[in-house]
Amino acid sequence: MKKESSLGGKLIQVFGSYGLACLCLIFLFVLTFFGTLHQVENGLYDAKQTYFNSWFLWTEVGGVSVPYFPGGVLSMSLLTVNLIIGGLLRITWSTRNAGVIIIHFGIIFMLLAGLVKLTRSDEGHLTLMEGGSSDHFQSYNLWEVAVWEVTAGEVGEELLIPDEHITDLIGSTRRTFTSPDLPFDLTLTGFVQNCDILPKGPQWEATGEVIDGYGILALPAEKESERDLAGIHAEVLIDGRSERAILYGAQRAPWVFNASGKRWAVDMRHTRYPMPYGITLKKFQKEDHPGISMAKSFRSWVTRADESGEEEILIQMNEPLREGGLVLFQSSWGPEGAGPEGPFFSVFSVVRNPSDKWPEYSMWIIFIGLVMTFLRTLLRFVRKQNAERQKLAQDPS
Amino acid sequence: MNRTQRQARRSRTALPFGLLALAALAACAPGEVVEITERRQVRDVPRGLQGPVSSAARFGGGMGVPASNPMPEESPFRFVLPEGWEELEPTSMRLLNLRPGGDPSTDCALTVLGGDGGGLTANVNRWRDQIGLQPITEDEVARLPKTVLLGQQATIVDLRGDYKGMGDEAKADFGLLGLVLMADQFTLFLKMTGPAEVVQAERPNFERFYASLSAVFPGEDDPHAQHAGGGAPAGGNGDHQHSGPGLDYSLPDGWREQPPKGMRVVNLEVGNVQCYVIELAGEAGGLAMNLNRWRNEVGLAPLDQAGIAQLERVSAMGQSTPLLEVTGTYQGMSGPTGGDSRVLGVPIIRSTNSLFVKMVGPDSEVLAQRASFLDFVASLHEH
Repeated sequence: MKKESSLGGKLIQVFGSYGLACLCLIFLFVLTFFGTLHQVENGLYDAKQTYFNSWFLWTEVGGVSVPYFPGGVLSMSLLTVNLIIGGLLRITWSTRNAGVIIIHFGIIFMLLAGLVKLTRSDEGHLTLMEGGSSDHFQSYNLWEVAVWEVTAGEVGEELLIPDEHITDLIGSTRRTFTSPDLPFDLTLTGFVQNCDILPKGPQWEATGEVIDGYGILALPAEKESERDLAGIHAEVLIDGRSERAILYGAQRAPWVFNASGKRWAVDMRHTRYPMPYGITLKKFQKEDHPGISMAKSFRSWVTRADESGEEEILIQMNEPLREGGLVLFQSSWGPEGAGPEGPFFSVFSVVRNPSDKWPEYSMWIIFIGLVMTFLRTLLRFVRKQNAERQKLAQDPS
Repeated sequence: MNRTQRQARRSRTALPFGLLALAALAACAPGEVVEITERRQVRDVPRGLQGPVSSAARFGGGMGVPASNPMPEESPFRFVLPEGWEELEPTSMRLLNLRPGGDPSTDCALTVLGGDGGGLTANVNRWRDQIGLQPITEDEVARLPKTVLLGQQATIVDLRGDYKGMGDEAKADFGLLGLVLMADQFTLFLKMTGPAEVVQAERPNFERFYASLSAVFPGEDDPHAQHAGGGAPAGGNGDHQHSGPGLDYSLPDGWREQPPKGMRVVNLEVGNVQCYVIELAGEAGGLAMNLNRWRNEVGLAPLDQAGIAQLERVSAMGQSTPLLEVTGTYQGMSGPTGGDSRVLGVPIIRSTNSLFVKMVGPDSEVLAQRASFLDFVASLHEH
C-alpha cells in the first residue's frame, strides 16, 4: 500500500485503518462488559448514561475529574468515521466490492440511527386512570421547572427550564433564568438528584438553606432512577425583595407568589412532552393466570382525538399504537392488588424516535450486502468447480 | 482524475467534517444567566391556586390532614389586629404575617409544623441558637412560663441577643418573643422578632393579639359565621336546583342549607345529621388516603387496595368512585362527636381539584337519610 506523506494523508490512514476499527470494537466490548456489571449495582439508566451516552468515562484524581476511557459516544463516533473513510471512501468502488460497500453503508446507517436516537428522541410514560385523558407524556428521568401566570382561563402558556439547565446546579452552583415575559428573574441552585423535604429538626442536616422551616434531606440515588425525587432551591427577586422556596419533584402544589400585581406559579416535575393528539383511557382489562393474581395479559381501549376527529383504538402487549411520530406501548398497570373490576390505571411507554425504524432498514441493507457477497463468492466457487471439473473431463489422467 | 485521486479527494473532504461533527457534539455548558426560550401552550392549567401555598401544604406534614393539601384562600384565623400593626400577605409557610408597630425590622409570624415539629426542647433551643444563646435542658424548658393560645397551653419564650435568622446576617441586640403550642397533630409557633426595645414596647400588643386569636379549622363552627353568614336556613323540597360555589345540586326533602364555612363549599343539615362538600386543590392526597382518613375518624384500620376495590361504587360528577360507609365512635375534626355514629363519604378525586362529600351523624338518622344522600351525590354537578 502506498504510504501517505502529508499530515492529512496520515490522518486519513489512521482514521481509516483496520487497527482503529479493531480498537473501537475492543472499546465497545469493554464498555458492554463493564456497563453490564455496573447495571447490576446502579441500575439501567445510570449504566446507559455512564458507559454508553458519554464521550468519556470519568474518575476523580485529587479532586479533579479526569477521563480514563473512551465512552460509547466517542467509540461509536470514531467507528463511524473509520467506516466512512475505510469502508466507503478508501475502498475501491467496483462491482466486485459492491456487497462489502453496502454492508459498510448499513452499519454506518445503524450507528447513525443510534446517534439520532441519542440526540433527537424522547422517552417517557403516559399513565391514565380509566376515564382520564392527557395530551402529553412524561419523562422517566428528566426534570423541568415550569413557570406560569396563574389565571382563571383553562389555556395558558408555560415557560420551561429544561433538564440540562437544572441538573448541573449541584452544591453552590447557581444559574439565573430570565425572560422578557417575566417581571422577575428566577435563580436556581443546589440541585439534589434524590431527596425528601422535611421539617428541619435537630436530628439531621439539610442540604443547602432551610426555608420556612423545611430543608432538603439528600438521599442516595435509587437503583431505578425513575424513583428518584429531585429537589432544588429557588429564589426570585421582586422589587428588591427576595422570595425563596424549595422546589421538589413530588411537591403537592407549586410554589405560588405575587409579582407586579400578578400571581405566578413555579413547579418542578418530570419533563413533559406534548403529543399531537389526546388519549383517553376508556377501559382497561387484565386477565390473570388461573388461581393466582399474576396478570396473564392486559389491554387498554383508548380514544385518540385530534382536530380531525376521534378514533377508538385497542392497545395491548405487542400491539402498540404508532401515530404522529409516537409509539405507545402497553407497559404496565395498577394499582397493585386491585380487584378484577378495578379501578385501574394503565401505563403506556411512549417513545418519540425519528430513527425508530432505521435499525430495521439498516438490517435489510446489511442483509442485501451479505447476500450479494455470499452469492458472488458462491458463484466464483461454482465457476471454479466447473472449470476444474471440465479440466478433469478433458484430461482424466 | 483517476480513481485513486478521487478516493483521496473524497477522504480529505470527509475528514474535517467528521472532526467538526465530533467537536460540535461536545457542546459547551450553559452560562450563569440564561434566557428561557422554551415555552408550551397547555390545557388544564392547574387551578385552585388562589394564594400562596404553605410549605407544610406543599411538602406535607402540616396541621394534620388538611395541611396535606393547599391552604384555602380564606385564612382560618380570626384576631384583633393591634393598633399600629400591619397585616402582610402570607408568605409560603407563614399562616399569618404581621408587622408590629409599623417597624420594617420587626415582624411577627404564625407558622405551623406537622407532628411535634422536632419537639418543644429542640424548638426552644433552635430559637435560642438563632439569638446566640446556649441550649437549655428539657427540665429548664419545662419550667418556662406558660400562657393560653387558641384555648391550649403554650410555652412562652422571651430572649434577647444577636439575632440570626435563617440565612440572614446577625442583627445586634434583638428581641425574640414567641409562643410554642404543642398540639396532638401539629405544632404552632407565634414569634415576634425585632430590635429589643421595639419588641419590649410591643409586648402588650403581642399579648393582646394572641389573646384575641381564634381559629376555624376545616369543618368547625365559626363563631363569626353568624355575623357574616348570609340568610336563614332554608328548607329543601327536592324539586329545585340549589347552588354552592361552582356546584349545583338537588336538595333532598327536609334538608336545610347552612352558610358555607371553613372549607365547606356546600353545607347541609338534616336533624342531627350534617352533610357537606369540601373542595381541595389537586388530588388532595388521593383516594386511599382520604378513604382511610374517614375510617380513622371512627377508629377503623386503613383499607388496602384490595379492600378499597371491594367498596360499593357510586357515580359522582361523571366518575365512578367508592362509597365509604362506616360506623363507630366518631372523632373527626368536624361534625358531631360521639359513639354510635355513622359516616358516609364519597371522594371525587380529580387532578385539578377534588371534592369530598360526607355525611355524619347518629347511626339511625344517617341510615334514614342514606338514600337521600345518594340522590344528593348523584345530583351534584358543576355549573
